[in-house]
Formats: sequence, C-alpha cells, structure tokens
Amino acid sequence: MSTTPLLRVEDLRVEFPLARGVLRAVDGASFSVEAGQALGLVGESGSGKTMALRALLGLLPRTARLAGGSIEIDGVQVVGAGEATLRRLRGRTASMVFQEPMTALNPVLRVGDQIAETPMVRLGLSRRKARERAIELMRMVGIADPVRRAEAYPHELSGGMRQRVVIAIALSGEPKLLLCDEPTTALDVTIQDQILKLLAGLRADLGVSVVFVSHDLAVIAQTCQHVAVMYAGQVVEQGPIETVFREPHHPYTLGLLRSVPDFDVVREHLSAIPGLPPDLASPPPGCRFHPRCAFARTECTHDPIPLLDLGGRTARCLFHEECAAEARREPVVARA
Amino acid sequence: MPEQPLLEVRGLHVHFPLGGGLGARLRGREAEVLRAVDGVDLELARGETLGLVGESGCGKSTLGRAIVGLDRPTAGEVRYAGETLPADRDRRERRRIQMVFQDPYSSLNPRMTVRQTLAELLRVHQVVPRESVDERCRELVGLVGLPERALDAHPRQFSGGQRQRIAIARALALEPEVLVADEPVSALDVSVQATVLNLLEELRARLGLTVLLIAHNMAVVRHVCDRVAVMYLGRIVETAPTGEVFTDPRHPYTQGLLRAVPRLTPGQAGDVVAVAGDPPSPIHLPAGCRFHPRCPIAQEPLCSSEDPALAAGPERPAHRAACHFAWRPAPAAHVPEVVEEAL
Repeated sequence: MSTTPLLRVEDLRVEFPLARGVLRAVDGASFSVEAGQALGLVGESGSGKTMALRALLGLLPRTARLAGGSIEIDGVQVVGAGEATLRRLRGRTASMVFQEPMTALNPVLRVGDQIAETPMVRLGLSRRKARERAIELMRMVGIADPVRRAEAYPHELSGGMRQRVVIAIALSGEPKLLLCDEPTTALDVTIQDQILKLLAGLRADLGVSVVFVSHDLAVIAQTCQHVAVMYAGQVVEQGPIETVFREPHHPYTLGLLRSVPDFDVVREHLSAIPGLPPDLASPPPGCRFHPRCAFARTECTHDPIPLLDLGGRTARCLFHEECAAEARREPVVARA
Repeated sequence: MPEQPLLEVRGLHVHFPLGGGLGARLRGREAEVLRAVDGVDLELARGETLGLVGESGCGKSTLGRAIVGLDRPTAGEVRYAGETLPADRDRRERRRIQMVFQDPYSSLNPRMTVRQTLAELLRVHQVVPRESVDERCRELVGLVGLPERALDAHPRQFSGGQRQRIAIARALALEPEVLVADEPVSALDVSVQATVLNLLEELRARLGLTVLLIAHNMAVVRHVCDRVAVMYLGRIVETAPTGEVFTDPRHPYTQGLLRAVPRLTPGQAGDVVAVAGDPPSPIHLPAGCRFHPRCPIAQEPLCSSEDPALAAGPERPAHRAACHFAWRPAPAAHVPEVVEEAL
C-alpha cells in the first residue's frame, strides 16, 4: 500500500549560531510517518531528536533557527509558513505531548477548563458543549470520576493523572498527528506502562499517527512500528523496528542496543560505546561516529557518508554488512 | 549457622512530621506523619551487591540515607558488624558506610578541583599520613579509570559519566566497607550507564566492597545484583536471590513491576496494564496489606485487615515475601479495588 505519508521531513536543518561558530543540532534529518503508524526517534542527549520534533510545529527555542529542509504535515508545508498557517496546524492537525506534565499544564486553571479550551476556541463549541467534550476526553484517557476531577488543579493530581490530562489536551483538537517528547520519562515504571498502553490504544482506536521521541530503546520497541536512530544531528539508521533491532546495520545502533541492560538477555558484561559524542559545532569529518566505531576504516574518515537505501530500510554506514554480520553472531534482542 | 551479616537493619522507621504548625495544633488537629520507611528489616552479607528497587516515594532513598546516617531513624537500628551504630555517628563510624548520589551535577562542589575534594577528605579523616595524600589522590583517580590530569580540573570540565566516576572516587577515598549507591546511573546517557555499572562491579570484586544499589530500573538490577529487595510504601515486600525474583516472583506487586518493564524485544507489550492505579499516599496508608487496593488477588476481609509478615517460603529460607498468598495457591485474579471504585 503506497499512500502519501502524513508527515514527510526532508533534509531538516536546525542551527544555533554561537560565538565560536554554528552548532548544527539537526543536520539533514529525513523521516516520514504513514497514517496510523508510530515512528520512534531515538538517540542520546544532544542527538537532535527533541529539536527535530520541535521544529515540526515551529516550536524551536528563540536562539535556534530553521536553516533548511522541508516539513510536510498532511500536505501542508511548514518550512517558511506564516504564523497563521502554523497556528492552524498546532493543536488541530498535530499536537504535542510534553515530557514534564507539571510544567506543561497551567497551575492556576482547573484541568477541565484547560481541556475545554481548544474545543471552545478552535472548534467553536459552546462553553457547555466544550465542557461535555472535556469530560468525554478525560474518560477516553482513563481518568476515573471525570466530572469531579475536571474541577481539580494540576497539583491535586498524581504524575500519571497529569500526563493523562496533557494527552487529553493534545487530543482535544482531534489531531491526525501526535508528537510525543519523552512522555513517560518523568514517570514511574508502572505508571509508564499505563500511559504507553493508553497511547497504543488511542492510536489504534482513533487512527492518529505518532512520533515518539525517547532515549529509551525498550519504550520505542514496545510502542512504535518504525524507528529512526539519531546520532550527532543525523539519522544514522531507519526502518521497521523489528528489522532494525534484530539486525542493526549501523554500528551506533548496535552499540546502543548492546549497552542497555536487557531484561530478557543477561550478559556477563555490558559493553559501553567508547568515547563521547562529538561537539556539534565541529563534528569530525566523514562519518560522525567513526572516532568511536570498531568497524571504521580510512574510507570512513574523509567524505560524508550518505544514507544508503538498503531496501525498506536505510543506514548511514559503508560497512553495514559487517555490522549486520556481527549482530547476527551475537543477537542483541531475545528471539521471539 | 550462616556468617554474621556485615550490615543489619532492624525494625527501621523513618517518619517525617508534616504540617505540625502552631495553627494546626491550636485547632487541636494532630500533626500528620509521612511514613517514608515504616518497619524495615534488611541484611547485607560481606561482599554482596543488594539491589533495592521500588517506585518513587516508596522510601528506598530514605532507607539508604538512614543507613549512611544522613536521615535519623524514628525507631529501629542499623548495626554494623554486630554493633549498633548511634544516630550521631563519629568520624570513624561514618567512614565505614559511604554514599554515591544520583546526580553527579549537583553532588560535587563546583568550586573545588578533584584534587582539593579528595585531599580534604583524606586529611580531615586522616586516612593516610599528610605526605602521602597526593599519592593517594593519584591512586584514587586511577582506580575509577580517570587520567591523572583529571586531578586539577573542576567538575564542570567533565561529562556526566566522568563526574560520577569522581563521585565514586570521593566515596572510596575513605576506604569504606559498604557503598550505598542511590540511582548512580539514572542521570546518565544509556551508552555511558554501562561503563559506570561495570566500574562498580569491578571495584566491588577488587576491593571486596559490599554494595547497596538503589535503583528503579529492574534490568540494571538484574545485571548487577546478587540479591534484590523490593520496596513498596515504606516496607520490603519481597527479597530473594536475583534469579528467583525474576523467574519466580511471589508478591503480586513484584509480579506487576516486572510486567511493567518495557522489553527491548519488539512487540511484547500486551494491552493489559501491569499494575492498575497510583500508589497511595505514604501519609494515609491503607489498612491491612498496603498493596491490597491495587492487588488483583486481594481477598476480603483478610487483605484489608491483616498486615502480612515478610515470610520465607517452605524450603526457601532466602526468599521472603509479604503476601498472604505468597506460599499457598493464589486466588483467581479479579479487578483491583482502585479500578472498581473508579467505575
């Protein structure tokens, strides 16, 4: 089935001008999401995943600039679009779920009123109808006793409840695309489990597409069908989650998977990736990962490495075959 | 008769009084009490790594702090090699148990170089003669895998993983027997976490340390620990050798906690929630078993009236669980009380 993707990002560039040069936080990232699918953007701090996500709705910090590329959401070009187009997009076509529910909510407004705002202001519902809609949304995200809870202020709710409210607000404009920035990182594991299952259920029931930013590979493995692995501002590998996790074709993906203690496979020793991510104001020439890579050869150290099309998946590595062979030798995830 | 444990915690309670202000007292209201640690017994054998797991607010950090001597017990005691440690510990008693904190960005003095931080400790505690302080500083950074030139740098010049190494070197400067590590890797990036965990394991083996690792990440615990204690609302609800906790958990909370951990192998998440509801407040604790409102096998009136003891299994002296049904056939699962009330 070949449909136009709901979200198509090409060659996205986000820069921070600094006194000592330009910091390229996102440097030519491309990814897309089909309708009803979930894409995981995974990487460590500084990989550019959060900036890439924020750029989608024109929500970059003031000090950053969108330096190039194309972002198409439901057929609308975001790059270069005016504030009016962006405002129409935000909340209606696409909306954000932030990491910290305490800071994402207004502390002095009752949560019911916060959820009712978009239906009232953007969908033109009457106050009474918007309120009914808010209660319906609260029920939809699994908030018990929504009529009473709608009167609560954010501080009166638990962390998990607050994140449910944030999700209800994100859904209140009936979006087609939900952008989630580490939505469970601040939560405990049993509450994380509840929220992840809620999001999966909503995706299935409402058919919304999801972009899910996380540093947690296991969270991505359980919530997404596709994954894009980011390193130093670039997508280094992309494809269906099953194939990427079972047989990574980029050494960074392999290293990341091997450094995480997995629940199902107990290894004698955890293997860390040596070294540190590069300074994004002066990344190394050639492959950005080569100084830390066990597969690197001279070819890797000069020219930029393109994202290679490997049939249904892509990888930014000249020695992706060697990498895949190594992954087969000692599988990183348990066999299903 | 097994060897005497190096560290013993007996009947430990750490309560924090809340809102006991003048106004409340005048109105004749009783001050509320947050029961962070509410009756904990724990033992650490020399040389073992015990993982203490639980969710935020369960009291695991407070328990760790009370063991180190940073929080004062309301009741109960901490014993070291058979002798009770007083609430006000002297310098020698403090040296034996040291702590590594979660956040390496705030636990190091930003205005002191690594050398100053380490040398101060070595001098104040007279760990080595004055003339050997410098040599010992070099040994310490070497021990945690940092180059000697790190000694003259300030904490801001290091990455998170390197800072955590410095924090470990600082804890080791006093040559402790016991190291309490409170979430030592959770502020670090995934690829760096492994190096710090490996370092802790290596140091334990090399120096014969006894380690209490406080963590919320079950996968980390599975990799690093010999034994695990699971905490819920101020109590230990299950303790066993690591393998048994993961393959045969007996407490319904442990079972739920393990089901809640996202797996690296794609497509394993079902759609049934592992543990329903939020943990109750440690100020208003449920009567009976503390887990009963969220428990899928709770039975009335037993579980809402009788507090189960942490009991060992038949022929499993090392595996203890605080559930009425831990060691007998479990009743059929039902909708937990919290969910029922909500409907």
